Amino acid sequence: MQNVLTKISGEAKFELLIFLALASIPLVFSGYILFILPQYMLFGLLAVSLSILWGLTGIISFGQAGFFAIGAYAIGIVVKSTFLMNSAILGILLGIIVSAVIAGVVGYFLFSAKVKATYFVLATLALSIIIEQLAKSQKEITGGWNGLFVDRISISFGNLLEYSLFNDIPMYYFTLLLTIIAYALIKFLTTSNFGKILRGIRENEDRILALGYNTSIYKTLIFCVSGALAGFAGSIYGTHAGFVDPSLARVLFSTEVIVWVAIGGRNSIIGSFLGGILVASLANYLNSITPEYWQLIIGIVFIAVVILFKGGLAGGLEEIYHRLKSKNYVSARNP
Amino acid sequence: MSLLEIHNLSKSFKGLLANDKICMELKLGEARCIIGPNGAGKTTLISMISGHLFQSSGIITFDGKNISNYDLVKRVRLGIGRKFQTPTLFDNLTVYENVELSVIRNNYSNFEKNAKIDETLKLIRLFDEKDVPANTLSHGQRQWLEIGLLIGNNVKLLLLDEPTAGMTTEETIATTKLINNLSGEKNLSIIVIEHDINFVRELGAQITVLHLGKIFAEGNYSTIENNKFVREIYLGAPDVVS
Repeated sequence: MQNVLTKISGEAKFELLIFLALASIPLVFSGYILFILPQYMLFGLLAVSLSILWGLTGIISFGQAGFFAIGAYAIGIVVKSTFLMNSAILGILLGIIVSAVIAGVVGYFLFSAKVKATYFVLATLALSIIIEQLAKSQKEITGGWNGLFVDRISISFGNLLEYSLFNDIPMYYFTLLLTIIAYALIKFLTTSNFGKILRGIRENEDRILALGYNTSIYKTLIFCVSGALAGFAGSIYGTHAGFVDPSLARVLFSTEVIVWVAIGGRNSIIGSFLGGILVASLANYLNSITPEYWQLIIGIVFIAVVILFKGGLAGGLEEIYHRLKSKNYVSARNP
Repeated sequence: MSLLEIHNLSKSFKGLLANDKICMELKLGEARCIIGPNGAGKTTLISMISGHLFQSSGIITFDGKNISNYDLVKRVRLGIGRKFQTPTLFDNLTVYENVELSVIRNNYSNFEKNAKIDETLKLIRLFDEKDVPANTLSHGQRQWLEIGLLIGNNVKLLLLDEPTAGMTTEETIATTKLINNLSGEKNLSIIVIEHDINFVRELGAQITVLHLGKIFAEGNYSTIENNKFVREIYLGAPDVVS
């Protein structure tokens, strides 16, 4: 056991700790926090979907809310209009697939045309606006401005078992489980060769091209994964919140995702995840105590973190850790 | 059989002829130096071979295939690797991670991968620096690391654009040995663009002199050194050479 523990990296231990803490919260707390925390975990996943683009690959997207909204609408529409036994799972899958396909098609055309980063940002911004407009205009399907009510889903496994997510605790653990699975998959992806090549693209795209990697394919694939993850988080959000409306796809929400990731630390998956949870919680709390100034305070926090730490809070902590470590190292060598 | 054949290769930039009907052949395991004054078209020629620029006319054959219309990535995958004039590396990654990124294109097993990385690091004399970020290396070490990226990438033809720029005399000598080792023992073909005439002499490879986009002279060092016209256009006053 000792041996296994020392083999796991510091970051992995920290991640384990975070998820254990999330798993034990329902044992200690009750009430509102159990309702709202799953929502913030999904925001955390949404933040991760941006961090694998922005932090890992060096591409920034203002369209993450668009994919999130696609996921939320997908489950809402599917659950409402089909009477299949597994409409919930179908809705989640549809949310993932539609988001991934849209990201794939848009990414393919933009990246293979070698558009500059700034134009890519504009294209994702436009994508988000298109999705919002579609949600508003297609009243028969989406409910238009009024939005769409989504029932809490039940997950059934054949005829044997039906697991209703109507209550908060089942919903909490369902969301946590899916969050952990998605997180682990993303973590695996970032440490694989694919992830290493993406890091190479971020560091020096000319070099990675000259090493024989077709960068536009890699960028398209990661945009696809990012869209799929945002869509996945959105679909769970849809059934959790019970309501979907066009404001989910707004550019303002995409901007919030960027703020979460910038504060949490774009180069760190766990940093971005926690950024999503903590900044969204902070915003909610500030909104309740000072509705006039909460956005101002978040803005000040954002600016302060960006100025003080290059890589957000995660980057700042890492820097402090390394500085302490190297100080110890030096003092150990020169007593 | 020649690994690389260039036939009547020309490149014009808006009417300015940077390369004019260049013909060249390179055998497997052969090293070749390209020298010439600034603006002679050396880097343009390398760029057309690597796929960073497309020729205006002419044919490039590599390994028996006409690659004239192949893009950069396709050419690298056939085995043409390029070191840029200013070292182009993954600055924030460690030396090990740099080489790893070039090696993993080959779908090796974990064991083969590690062996290949270690072998490459030893070859470029950076094994002890493997955990150091690339941006903390000296100028000369950065040049070696970029050559290492090509070796790790398993290329057959290395295009080296000024590999000894910024190197100390000692480092330059080590680079000469490295290049001779790569062409001699590893049987790689190498084209080197260089300004350092001492390096060119030490390398002992065949030399192609470019002037105003054309091949001006070809031969070994002593032939080139004794060519009156080459001295005039490039080598300058006799005392510089000796």
